[in-house]
Amino acid sequence: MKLRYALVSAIGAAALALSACGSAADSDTASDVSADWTAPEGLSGELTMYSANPQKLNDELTSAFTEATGVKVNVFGGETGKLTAKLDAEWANPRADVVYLASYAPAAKYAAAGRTMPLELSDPGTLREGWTGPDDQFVGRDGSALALVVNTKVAPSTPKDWSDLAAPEFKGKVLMPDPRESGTARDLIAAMVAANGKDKTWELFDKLFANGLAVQGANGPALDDVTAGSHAVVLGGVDYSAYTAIDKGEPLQVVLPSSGTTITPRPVMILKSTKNSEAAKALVDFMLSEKGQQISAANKMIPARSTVPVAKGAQPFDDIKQLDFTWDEVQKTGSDILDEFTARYLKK
Amino acid sequence: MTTLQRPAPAPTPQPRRRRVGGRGVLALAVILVIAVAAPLAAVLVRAVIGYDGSPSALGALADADNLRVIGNTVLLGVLVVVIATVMAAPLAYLMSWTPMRDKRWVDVAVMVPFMTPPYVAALAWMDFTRVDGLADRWLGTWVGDGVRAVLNTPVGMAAIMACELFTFLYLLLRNRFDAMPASSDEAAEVSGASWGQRLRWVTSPLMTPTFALGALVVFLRACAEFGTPITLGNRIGFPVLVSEIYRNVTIDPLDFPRASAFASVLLGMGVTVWGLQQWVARREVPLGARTGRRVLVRGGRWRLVGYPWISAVLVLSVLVPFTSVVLGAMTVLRSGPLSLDNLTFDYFGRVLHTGHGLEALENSAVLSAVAATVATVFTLVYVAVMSTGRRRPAMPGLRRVVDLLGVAPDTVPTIVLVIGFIFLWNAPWLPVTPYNSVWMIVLAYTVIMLPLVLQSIKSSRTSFGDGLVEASAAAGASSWQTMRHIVVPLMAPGIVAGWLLGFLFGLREVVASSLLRPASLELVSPWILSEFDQGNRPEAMAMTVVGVLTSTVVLVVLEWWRRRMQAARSA
Repeated sequence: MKLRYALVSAIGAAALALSACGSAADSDTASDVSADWTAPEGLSGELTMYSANPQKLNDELTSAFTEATGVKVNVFGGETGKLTAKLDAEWANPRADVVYLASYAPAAKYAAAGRTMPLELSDPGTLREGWTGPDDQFVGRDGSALALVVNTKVAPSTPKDWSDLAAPEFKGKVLMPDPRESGTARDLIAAMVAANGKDKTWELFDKLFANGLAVQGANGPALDDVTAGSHAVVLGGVDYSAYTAIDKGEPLQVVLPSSGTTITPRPVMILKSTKNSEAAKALVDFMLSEKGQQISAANKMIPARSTVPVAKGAQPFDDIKQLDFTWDEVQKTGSDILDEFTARYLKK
Repeated sequence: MTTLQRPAPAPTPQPRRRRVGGRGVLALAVILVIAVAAPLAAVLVRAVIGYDGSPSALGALADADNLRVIGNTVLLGVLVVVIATVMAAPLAYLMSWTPMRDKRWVDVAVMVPFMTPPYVAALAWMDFTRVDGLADRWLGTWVGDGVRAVLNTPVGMAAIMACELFTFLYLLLRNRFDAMPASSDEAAEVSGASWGQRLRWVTSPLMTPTFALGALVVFLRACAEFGTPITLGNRIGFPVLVSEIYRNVTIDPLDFPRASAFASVLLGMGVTVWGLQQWVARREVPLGARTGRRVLVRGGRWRLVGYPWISAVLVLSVLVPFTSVVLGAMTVLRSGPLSLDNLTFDYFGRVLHTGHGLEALENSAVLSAVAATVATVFTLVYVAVMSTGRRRPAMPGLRRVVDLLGVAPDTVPTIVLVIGFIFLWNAPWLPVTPYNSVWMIVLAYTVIMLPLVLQSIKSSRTSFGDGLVEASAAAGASSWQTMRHIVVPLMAPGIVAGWLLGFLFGLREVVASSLLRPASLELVSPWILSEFDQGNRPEAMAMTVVGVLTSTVVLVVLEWWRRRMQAARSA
């Protein structure tokens, strides 16, 4: 009996599959990578990398590295918060060799605690200013800008700056990733405070929350909600996932606020405890090479090397106005500012 | 490798007068202490002494905010138990005592929510009720607003969790109803007892221990499951212990002492509820060894209630979330309309071919099957040891400990157990450790699914009395022979059901899978979660559908086999 049902439904599903007319677009990035990287001789063994990056970027970076060196890279993917939890729980006996996060603060913390080793950076002159940690303990190897991601089908107009979203026409239409979950959103608030002072920052958010600003989820779900049309704008959305959605054909627009925003460097570091430091150093060198940087750019990230251009359609680093702050300030004050923000706006 | 896979020595037959079963109990205790108690102790130690330089946070528990969190947790647990009972109890009755029990597809359908990763149901409901979502478009904005308003309350949260958890209760209750011989109810009816009197004096006393067990499981899972609290709960500002723990161990700044302190509260709650359940079920009511004829309630009245009830339960727990999931898996443009042009099957092919989707599914299936087998074998040894010498048990105190440790993994949120696993098994002084290998996942899955398998198999053991076992012993059979020829065949349907529950549970498990998997070992749930977090909603939903379909195939095949076995037994 059951078998017959299964058979009938399988045939039904197949028939439906043939009749459906839509198809999903596939993105191909291989053509955007032209540079080559020469691997040092004599590398062997394996590496373990904890990475808070899109899986496609991880796959492309590690497979190119393995092809050039023969060193296999095991990638453990996850959000920055999950990876830092795993790292902290494992400090007695670390398992990762290389760590590649999406937020500056934990990298600075690990470097200060003496848990990382200095990197050997080739050609440091072309790396972005302020993206390298003290004593080269870590380096932001690519970055992402926080933007206003606008659903052009739903938004009443195109906002130019943060404060435009306090206008009545955006009432109940703006969504912000929860800074308790999203490290980038937290950094944005801290950077605003560092640049404009607390009074001005809270004044802006008072107006935004009075206008029905919703705070929910991490970056991915927030973008999904706006793409679906439940809200019109992500306040502080990461640019690269929006660009990827635009490539698929979603009606989104990335607006970089005129008063300035943050470009979060995504730091890579080598743990001191690594047993294969030669291979680990080579991996970091590869990630900072022109080829590694082109792979990042093809995945819509902002490259750390000023010599490598961003992907077509993405905003280049120099055209993005940044808030006036330093990452060290943000790292030091972030936690307190988040507490204050939570107490002011998110305690119900 | 894990000590769990080494079966404890079967207790040797001994002269009747002595206390027996001591060595077996000791072996069980040692295994459970290593597998369950040690990781929990590792967490508790950190609750008391702090971690990595940060002091203990136990003192902060009495803060008003934290008390509110504890109160919320209890409230949510109680709400979930109430809603799950309302959903499960009538369904169990209908599916056991009325002619509806021949509708086998219902049993498959109610398993669907159980096979879905816990956060997916919450995501699906949130998507269904979002502004301009399916509810708004199909039911009109008035109804849509109403559904959304209900969903965004603790009751809505509890309803979503109950939709996913009522299966536990349903299965336990239905099996108990199945095992209840018709004679007990009919005797009362013949004696002139009314419907209410029979419910009060016959059915209820026979069902209470099972219900208490089911309610315990549901309550504790509701307190320990983080899928809905971290998605819907965080959005509506309803913090519970598990979402606070999740925040403390996954979001910078990490606070292990605080997480450990909250975990201790949950552990305390778990032990309390467990004690309560033990008290309610202190008198086991065996149903007699004769495999009596099953109850069949004829007459038309049940039809009036039955079909609407089953429909309502299935609409809420299966139809709505799965419509949302399937559409999510097939939508080309998230912003586009719901039309044929905007639907595609491409994502199914994509998750099964490129990337690690297929690999993740294979890994999860194999590891869950291995873990379910280990848990089942362990449980059989457990049941054999614990039912030896019931009259004069050796080491009664240790038996209590073993009993508690068997359900302990259900009394703490999985995330706490998992952090304990990391603390314990990644200690640098260990000469050998399963950590960072697939065996860690097998061990973790086994421990996490153990209470589920244990309860399922144990309840099938209590459904027949000691008569046959004693008769076998009196006839001179060794306890191994009794186990092999009497106990296991009688329990076979329960064993299959237990294994199946364990397998399905492992396949959807997310916390241990995310935090303990070695680098580059892909598993289904973390794969889905990470695709979703990266904004690849269709891929995430397509994988969910593929996972549930796979589970369904295993379920249907095993259910068919179990039914055949049961039919052969009662023939």
